[in-house]
Amino acid sequence: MSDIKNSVERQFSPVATNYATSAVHVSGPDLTAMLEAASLQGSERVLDAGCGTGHTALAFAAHAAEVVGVDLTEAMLAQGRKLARDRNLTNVSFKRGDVEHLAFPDAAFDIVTSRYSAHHYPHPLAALREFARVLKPGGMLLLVDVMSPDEPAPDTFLNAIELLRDPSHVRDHRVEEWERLFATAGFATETLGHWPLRLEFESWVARMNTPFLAITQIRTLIEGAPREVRAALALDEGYSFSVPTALLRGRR
Amino acid sequence: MKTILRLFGVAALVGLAAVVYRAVKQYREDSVFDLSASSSSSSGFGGGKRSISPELLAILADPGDKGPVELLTDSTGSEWLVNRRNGFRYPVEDGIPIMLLEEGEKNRDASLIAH
Repeated sequence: MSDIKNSVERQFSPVATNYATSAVHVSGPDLTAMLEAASLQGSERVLDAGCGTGHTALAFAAHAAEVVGVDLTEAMLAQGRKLARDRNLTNVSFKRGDVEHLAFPDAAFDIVTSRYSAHHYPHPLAALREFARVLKPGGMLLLVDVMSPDEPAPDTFLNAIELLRDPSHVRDHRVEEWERLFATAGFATETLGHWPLRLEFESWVARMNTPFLAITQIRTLIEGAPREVRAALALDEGYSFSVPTALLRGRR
Repeated sequence: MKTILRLFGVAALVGLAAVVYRAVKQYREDSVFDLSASSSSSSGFGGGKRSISPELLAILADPGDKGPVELLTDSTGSEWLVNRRNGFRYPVEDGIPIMLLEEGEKNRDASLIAH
């Protein structure tokens, strides 16, 4: 396992229950849009890559034939299994694995979803190539994540505070970076929607168990943020801010 | 001075009580989790003790060579997903297959290679 992947597991194991109940993750306009874009007929086999505690997998399981969730962190998968039992969903299973080395044969899935997990991928192109491989011809990849602003200053700023909050953060890419990566991996790509996601500062750092020192560093960065950054991220006096998110669809 | 020491003592006791309370609470939550897990598997779905479903097994492949894997139970009752081409063994813990290359290599058993 590479060091970044170890770091992801170390970071998420102790906070798995926070994610099982996180309002940002349980639902949202992006999840509704994903389901709409998928227009499930009930016969599909779906892979939820980087499934965490399984919110996306569970939402899709209600409308698909079978859903498999894959994540690096065992503790997150255990929460997913518990949520599946609570909702009496029996067509969803969870498996520990690495999205850059998927344990599935070629053309095994109709749909691959990745929601709020791609910013952890050390080699995003390797992951996208794996998604393309396990998708049937005509299958689709639906990816939702925080998108970095197009301007370099807020881009650097956002990724800096993300890294301080979560040492396993790799990068929030810009929409055009994702579009280029999708194309390189062989997907016909369209961006289906953008949503600002309001992150309330206290719950944002509490969810990740960010150490006090790092919270202080983030606050210092926010206090000194230039006007352009404040505007791009809609920073307020209470340190809360909005990040752009987007849904991209890639067809194989 | 005595008052301060007494205050410290009280604070320490309260702290200890909080730690014990949290440990007990966590233990109870974990037990509840275990109970619901076993009751749901004994109620039918999943086919016997916490095991991976045939549907999931049918679509699993080795994360390295992407070829098929076989479900084997060893002498201690532990389940493994085995790649017969290179002897890599992937553990199955609580019904969750651990399909990481590093795990497969770490648990490799060359005697399982089919010739």
